[in-house]
Amino acid sequence: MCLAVFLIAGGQPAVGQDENETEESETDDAEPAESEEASLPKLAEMEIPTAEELLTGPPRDWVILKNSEVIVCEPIVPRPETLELRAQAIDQKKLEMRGKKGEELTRLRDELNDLNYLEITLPEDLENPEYRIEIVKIDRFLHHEDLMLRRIDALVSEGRLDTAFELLVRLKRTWDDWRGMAERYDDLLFADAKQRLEAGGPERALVTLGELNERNPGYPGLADLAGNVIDGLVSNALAEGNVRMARHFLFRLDDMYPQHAVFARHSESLTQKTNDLLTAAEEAQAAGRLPEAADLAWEAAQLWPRTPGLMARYRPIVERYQQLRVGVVHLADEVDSSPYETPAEARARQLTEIPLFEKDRFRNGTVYYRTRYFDEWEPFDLGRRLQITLRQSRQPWEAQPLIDAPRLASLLETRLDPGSDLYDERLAWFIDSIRVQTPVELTIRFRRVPPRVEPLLDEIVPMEARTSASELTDGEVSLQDEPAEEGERTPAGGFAPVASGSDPDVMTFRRAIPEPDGLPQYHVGEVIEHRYISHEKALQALKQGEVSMLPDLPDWILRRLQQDENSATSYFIQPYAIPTTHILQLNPHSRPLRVRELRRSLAYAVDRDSILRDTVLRDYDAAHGRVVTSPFPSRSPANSLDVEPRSFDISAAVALMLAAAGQLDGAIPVLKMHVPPGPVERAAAEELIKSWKRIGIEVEIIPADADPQTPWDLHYRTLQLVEPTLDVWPFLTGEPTAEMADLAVFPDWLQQQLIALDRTSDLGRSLAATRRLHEALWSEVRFLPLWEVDQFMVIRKNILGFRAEPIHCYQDVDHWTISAWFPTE
Amino acid sequence: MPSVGAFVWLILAAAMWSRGDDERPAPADPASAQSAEAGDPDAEPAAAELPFEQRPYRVLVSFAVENRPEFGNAFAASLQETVEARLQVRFGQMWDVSIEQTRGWAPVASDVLSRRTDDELNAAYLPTDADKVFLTGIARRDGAYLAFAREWDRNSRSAGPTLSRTTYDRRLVGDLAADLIHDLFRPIALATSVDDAGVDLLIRAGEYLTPDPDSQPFREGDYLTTYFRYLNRQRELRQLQHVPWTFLRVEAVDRARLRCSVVSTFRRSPLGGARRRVELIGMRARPLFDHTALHMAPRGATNIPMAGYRVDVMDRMPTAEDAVEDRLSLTSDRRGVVRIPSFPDQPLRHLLVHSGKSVLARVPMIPGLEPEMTLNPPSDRARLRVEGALAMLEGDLIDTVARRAVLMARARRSADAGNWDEVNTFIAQIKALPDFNRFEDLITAIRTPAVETSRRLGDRVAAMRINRMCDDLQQVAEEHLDSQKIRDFEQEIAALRSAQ
Repeated sequence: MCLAVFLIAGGQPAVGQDENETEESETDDAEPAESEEASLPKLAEMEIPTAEELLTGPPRDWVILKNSEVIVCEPIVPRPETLELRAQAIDQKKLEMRGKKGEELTRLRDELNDLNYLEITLPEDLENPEYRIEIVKIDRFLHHEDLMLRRIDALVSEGRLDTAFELLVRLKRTWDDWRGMAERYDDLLFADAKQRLEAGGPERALVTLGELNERNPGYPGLADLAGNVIDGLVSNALAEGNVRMARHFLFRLDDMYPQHAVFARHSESLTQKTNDLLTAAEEAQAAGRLPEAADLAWEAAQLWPRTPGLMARYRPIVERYQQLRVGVVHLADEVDSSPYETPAEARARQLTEIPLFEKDRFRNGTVYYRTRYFDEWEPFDLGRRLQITLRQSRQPWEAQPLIDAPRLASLLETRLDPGSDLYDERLAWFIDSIRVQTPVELTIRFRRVPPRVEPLLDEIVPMEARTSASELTDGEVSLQDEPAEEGERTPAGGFAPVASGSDPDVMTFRRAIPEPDGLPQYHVGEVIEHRYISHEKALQALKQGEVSMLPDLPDWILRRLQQDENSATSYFIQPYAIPTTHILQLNPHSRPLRVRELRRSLAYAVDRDSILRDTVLRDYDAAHGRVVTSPFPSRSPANSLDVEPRSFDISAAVALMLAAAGQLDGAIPVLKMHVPPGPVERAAAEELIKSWKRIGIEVEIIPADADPQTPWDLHYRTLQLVEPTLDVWPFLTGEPTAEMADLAVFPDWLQQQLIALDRTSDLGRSLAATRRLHEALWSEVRFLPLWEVDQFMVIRKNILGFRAEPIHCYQDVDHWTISAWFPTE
Repeated sequence: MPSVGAFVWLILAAAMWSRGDDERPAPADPASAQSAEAGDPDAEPAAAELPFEQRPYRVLVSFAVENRPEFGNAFAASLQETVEARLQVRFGQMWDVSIEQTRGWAPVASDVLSRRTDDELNAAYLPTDADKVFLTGIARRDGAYLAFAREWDRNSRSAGPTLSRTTYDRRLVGDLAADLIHDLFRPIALATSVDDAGVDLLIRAGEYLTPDPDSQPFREGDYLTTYFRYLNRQRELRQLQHVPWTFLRVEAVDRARLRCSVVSTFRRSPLGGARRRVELIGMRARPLFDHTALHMAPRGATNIPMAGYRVDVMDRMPTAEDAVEDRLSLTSDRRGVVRIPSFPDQPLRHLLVHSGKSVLARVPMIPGLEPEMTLNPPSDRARLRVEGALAMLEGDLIDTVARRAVLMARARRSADAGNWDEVNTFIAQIKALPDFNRFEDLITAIRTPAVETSRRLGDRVAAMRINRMCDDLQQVAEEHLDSQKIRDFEQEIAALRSAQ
């Protein structure tokens, strides 16, 4: 750029004024001294500097003269509003001159004169770059910042938004609020949104539009553009069936622009669909198809919760047939090679089976039972006889059926018959005979008096023949996937699994005995487990209203929820009565693990405390967990107080490993371990494996899809053994029942201790024997206890009737009530 | 003076009788043992004074037939005729058979017959002159014809087990009953001499060859149970004494004479030498049932069944050369019962009852001879308790040895590096570990009460085993926790310290 320079002589301005002139004498008319005119470009000829020049080059201001000529100079100070500020200074000076005389007046007059000139620096004149320009000749300035804004305008119109943003950011570094900066930012956002939309990213465009809306909701064209974007998003979401997403966008639009035409149009359409669904739901309910009615009503509420009158139509349907939606990360139908029940399978069992005795509560390490089937169960003859009187009626909401004495007798006798698959050797040893006296009375005679009757019978579940497809009447649907085989039996009552629909991430359990019509209050009729890919997703689903309960959350997520005030108003967070024990079960048939030194080595090599705090709980304080020494809850009276947690001792672990290797042909083989599919268990197992690897013991996790007959050495288990005197035997053998033949792998002294424990009739003595056994098993390292974790269930506050400290997440679920609720956002 | 071995036999025999406690006679005085005189007749009742081997059995077959229209007089007559004929064909002159029938037993049932005690049957049939009474019942059950029977024997004053069989063919009922009687028959033989090599016996009515060769009373390979009959001066029976866990095996049969070897749980044959007025009788023992339920409970605590004990069933005792790999290993159930199947071809089996590495009992038995039997080995509880306690202690010992080894290694490494503070720390930790004296005290605390209890109960074998287990562990502890090793180690460290 060639700049012409309009020079002003550098001496004192020729003011040509009498010293005695008053301060009111105009200084504005001071004539310039000698001036040298050079050619200056016109404003119209000037080009705005490029972005690169503005970003990398030295800053330059344009002085625009009244004749439209432009002087390019170094940045002028003060800035901006240079002329305004100079005018103020002149006025100030004039005021200052009032009443002044003599030299002072002269001085002030000179200063006033100086103020009529603006000093500029011309960058091209290296010898004498300082110049003065008469203020009167200046029209305005285009400061460097103004030039940047103009360049930004140009870039925006060219669509080069990144560069424009870069300029703006640079400007913002120096100025919080340069005139026109806020407007340019708005322009940029708008242009960015349009660009994103054109690039096929409506959601990203919406983000930008949202930001612009917050800054300047009245921006021209914003409302229309937002409406178009959201219209597209909503239409796509509805086409994909993702009503929650569609709802979300519409609510966004409504927040941004209430009563927007797009919102109104979709609202109307969705309201109509919702009403149609509700009508269908009401028809289904009238026809007695309650599950279908509830599903339709739920779908309606999910579709458009702002439908007028929705709750009034929704409530009677969903409160008549109540559906409990549960968020989980694993379902019971997943392939698993473990020989033991997974937590998901345990949940399914707790829903489908109602045993003769259920665990009711847990106090001071002792579990108390209740029964739904018996009116009375009275011991006679010092416990040698048990007289049972069965209930002859049940509440309509109860999930268990009535059973009569012959049926109960048959149930028991099946377990006493050595030829039966259900043969229970232990039970057969205790029970001598069963006599049916009346249709509702039965007497059990014991060969040996058990310490407690309830735990002996707590795994017996009344069964019934499964309904085959040919036996269904018209309109009935089979609750199972496969047709019933002859002689096949399923648990009676409870919540039976329903034939799976199209969604593989959903398992539904439905009351086998529906509640009849005409009751004043109804209860949960269906439990629907939804599988999510992670606990975080499940939590999100809870917050979004897709589910109403989370039965198991990792501790770090739970603590976050406990500390969140919003959660406290929306959810109950209930602790389970019994902590969950994590333990490594040793396969008694594993050849390497028969070597005691190897077992001890595995035990010493693990820093359980660290893994508990860092991996399992992610809590340094370990508020909800503790290291344990047995498979029983830490509060159980079966724990010996003389047993202390084994210390973490790498040196001892190595020494014992070497000793073990010597007994195993010089090398310890790779051990195989089952691990449940939960993320916490997996992470903990990985840490254990690392610990063992450090001392030279290799352990591999058996894949979930491996053959169930795959040999295993270790099994990471999570369990709740609340009847130590009865549970310790099957736990050690790894079998479901306590059978003599399974003890053969243990030393005789240990066998006889287990048998003696099983024979003990007195509860106090049996607990004392269990404590002695605990010491022996600890010394022998027959298992590797890890830790126990206090767990909680999270349940929405529209659900009532559950226990304050439940034994499991579905305890008494047939008693729960769910008030009508749906997410409004 | 009686030998020590004889006293031992007496004590063991007194403790291991499996039945007839109320009737158990006082042990015979072994000093007066004399060989029974061959051919001395039984003085009761008045009978032909024939030699023993020529004296036929006076057999009474007493039928009880269910009171049913189908079991009319014709049936009864046919039944009797058939049975008589079949028995005659089988036993010929060996038996002098008479048959009676009764009606109206209510009920005619095998379990009713089984519940009749020896005393009841003795009272009923001793007044008769029958040597053998076969109580036989005929009934209908579930559409089949049921025949059951039980033998009562005068000589042993005892009844055998009840056996029953069924047929759907009415015409075969008589044959069925005759077969039952044939199978239940327990012929007897009288010992004529006893020596270290075996026993010679005379077969009752052995001079009479049976028309049916399969009905010969004894064959080579047969087994006999034994009992003593103590007689008074009038040759009347004073008392009976069954010899437990002892059998005679027929090695040779020569018409009315048997030569038998002795199989016994006792190291020295309990059949003793010759004694006056004492008869040694052998009674054939053939298994009739497909198994025997052996109830095991420890001596002195018979209310505590021996559950979970391993029982090995073998056809021969193991030796150094032959470990008998083909043994049947069973485990007693929660009631202390182990079901031992019978082996008709080789009926005698040897049982080993194990507790850990110890053998609690070695007995011969014939599975299937009786449906149920009882065995009372010595209690092993004390030793098992000690074994468990020592196992825990052994675990602690392993820990201590391993830790000491590691600490020593680390101390040496630190000494090599000149890090003497660490060395001192490791040495202090080594000294803080339990030493041999500590383990010795713990072993003593386990040993002493257990040994005293065993001795007080008279179980010297258990006391010996306990001492041995404790000695073994003590030896291991002494070997690995020898304080000299610590002193040597300290000297080594001191030498390293002074060298640096």
